[in-house]
Amino acid sequence: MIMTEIYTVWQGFCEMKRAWIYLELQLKRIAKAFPAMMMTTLLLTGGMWLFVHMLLDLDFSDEQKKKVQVGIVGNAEDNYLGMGIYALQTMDTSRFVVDFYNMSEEEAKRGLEEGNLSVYVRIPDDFLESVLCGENKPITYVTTAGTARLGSVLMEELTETISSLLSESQSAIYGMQSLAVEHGLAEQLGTMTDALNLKYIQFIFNRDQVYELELLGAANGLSTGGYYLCAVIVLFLMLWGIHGSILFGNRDMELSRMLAAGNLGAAGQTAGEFTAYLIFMYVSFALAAGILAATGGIASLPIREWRAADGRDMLVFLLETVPVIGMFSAMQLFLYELASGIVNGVLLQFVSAVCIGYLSGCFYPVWFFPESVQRLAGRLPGGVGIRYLGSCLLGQVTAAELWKPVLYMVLFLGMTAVLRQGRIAGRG
Amino acid sequence: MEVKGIRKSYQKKEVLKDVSFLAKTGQCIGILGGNGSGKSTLLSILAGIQRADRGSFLWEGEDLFGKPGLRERLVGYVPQGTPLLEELTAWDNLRLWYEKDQLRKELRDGALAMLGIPEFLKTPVRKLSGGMKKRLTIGCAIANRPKLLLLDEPSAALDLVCKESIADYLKEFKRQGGMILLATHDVQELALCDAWYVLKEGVLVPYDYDGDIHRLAGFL
Repeated sequence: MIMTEIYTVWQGFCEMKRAWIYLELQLKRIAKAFPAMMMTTLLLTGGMWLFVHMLLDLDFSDEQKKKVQVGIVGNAEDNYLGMGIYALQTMDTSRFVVDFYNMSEEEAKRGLEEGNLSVYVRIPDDFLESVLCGENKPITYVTTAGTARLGSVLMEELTETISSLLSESQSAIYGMQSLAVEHGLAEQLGTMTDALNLKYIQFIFNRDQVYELELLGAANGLSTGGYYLCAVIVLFLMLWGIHGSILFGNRDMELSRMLAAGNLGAAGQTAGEFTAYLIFMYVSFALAAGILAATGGIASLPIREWRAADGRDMLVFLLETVPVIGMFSAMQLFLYELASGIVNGVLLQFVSAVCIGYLSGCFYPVWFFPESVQRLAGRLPGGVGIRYLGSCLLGQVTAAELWKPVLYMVLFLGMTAVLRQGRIAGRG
Repeated sequence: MEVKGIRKSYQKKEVLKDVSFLAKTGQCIGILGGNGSGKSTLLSILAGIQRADRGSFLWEGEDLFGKPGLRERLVGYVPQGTPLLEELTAWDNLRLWYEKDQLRKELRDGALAMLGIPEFLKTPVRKLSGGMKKRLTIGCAIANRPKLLLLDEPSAALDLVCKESIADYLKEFKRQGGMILLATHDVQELALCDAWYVLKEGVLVPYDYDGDIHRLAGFL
């Protein structure tokens, strides 16, 4: 009885030893393939850096470029129309995305031809009178074929807004004038009109106080720069899965079967391969970050969260990325287990990275998407990764943030082991 | 060694139906059968890779199905393919199965020396010929000095010299008291065997092989 127990302990030790040697050999395989893999890593890192810059430049360097330039063509000398146009130019809800310019139709046409304007809106001279008389003299929306697709929905809204704003403001002024005359206050009409105009303008200016903008989804609390950094790291961690093809793409199941016969089952094999791959992924990531840091690539990124920080914060960030790298390493291992052959494996990695990256907000900020997609993004590995890295950037990593990538990692490893077991036992 | 009443089904298809046979020390048993007849499944079950639905695998009265540690020590398994890490050397691959000291000893004057492994020890596996890979695979499988060696078509796609070399080793293994269970189609390997069984529609039937391949083909 005692001998049996001693033998069982010895057997367990031997199995553990084999698992360690298996891990050691996997690391050796990676070391052999490392130069080739590192070349790919460097290429992808270069791509990553350019991609981050491209995204951030779009957002920060020339904000005006993102605005829709709209010309307003109409008789601005008309008091009411002029005031309405002035209100439009200072309208708070649209000033971040739309710039209005008052101009003549010739100027507007030229602006449109030269590409300085996205669209111009022609307001007929007697537009306000026609509204009062119940006539329909529509505002004309003029654009080029190139921007027609882009702006069709936006411009419909815009034309509607302009129309309402102008007519409503004039109705208010006429209404007030009638009221003043009826109550014998005609002599104060000028002062009252001015007061109303001022109140109206004040109301327009202060409208930002009546709403609150909340960004939903994976990027809560992050600056746009910080968000893009996290998103691009996640995207490229997923794309780095292509590296794994050298190790896992063309695998012969016979070794797995023989190891299983030698009591190193699917779980032990998965654990060994995952650990080696995780080490490789982390070293690659650290090396890429090191190269970017050494060449000033990281410092050149406008990341608000790092602005006041020294290199130590970046180092802490680098250390805190382990769970996310673990999650993606496990995901990639699972995808290679799912695919058969090197071509299928690489394709699956690429397609998964692009699809998950897109839905998780790696290409566009997640708040660009409908709320349902934002909710989905928060649950996908990509979204979980962005959110966790965001917490790391903000220095707010909590257990609640940590468990999601860890859970995904365990889930992917479990599924890999189950699939491996199925493949080991599957062939007769 | 006694295999008793092994049954195995894949979903509704019964691959092995009550497979039973006996083997004695120093005996080589040839398992014959067409493609997909269940030969590899039987070997996988005995190697502990797959589980039988029913049956037992008795070694001196002890059922090895319930004792994976003992089974691993007694049974060596050589699969049909190449269970090797191609990027690594023969030495690295052997390290997965041998303790360092034991490996050096086996390479000096043991079974590995007999298999001719020292001549390509430092060569990456991907640069080895099919025969060298097979010898290396056998070398890995016999790390625990097993009493029973399970071989799944060991000579498939090998040249005559390699076949000869492997056959020589198997003869030596038998001579030292080892048992061999060989799933094969190869005439040269059939000649190594002392008893033959044909696996047909899941049933294992004894067969008296007399070197007449045409008769065997007709029986399969």
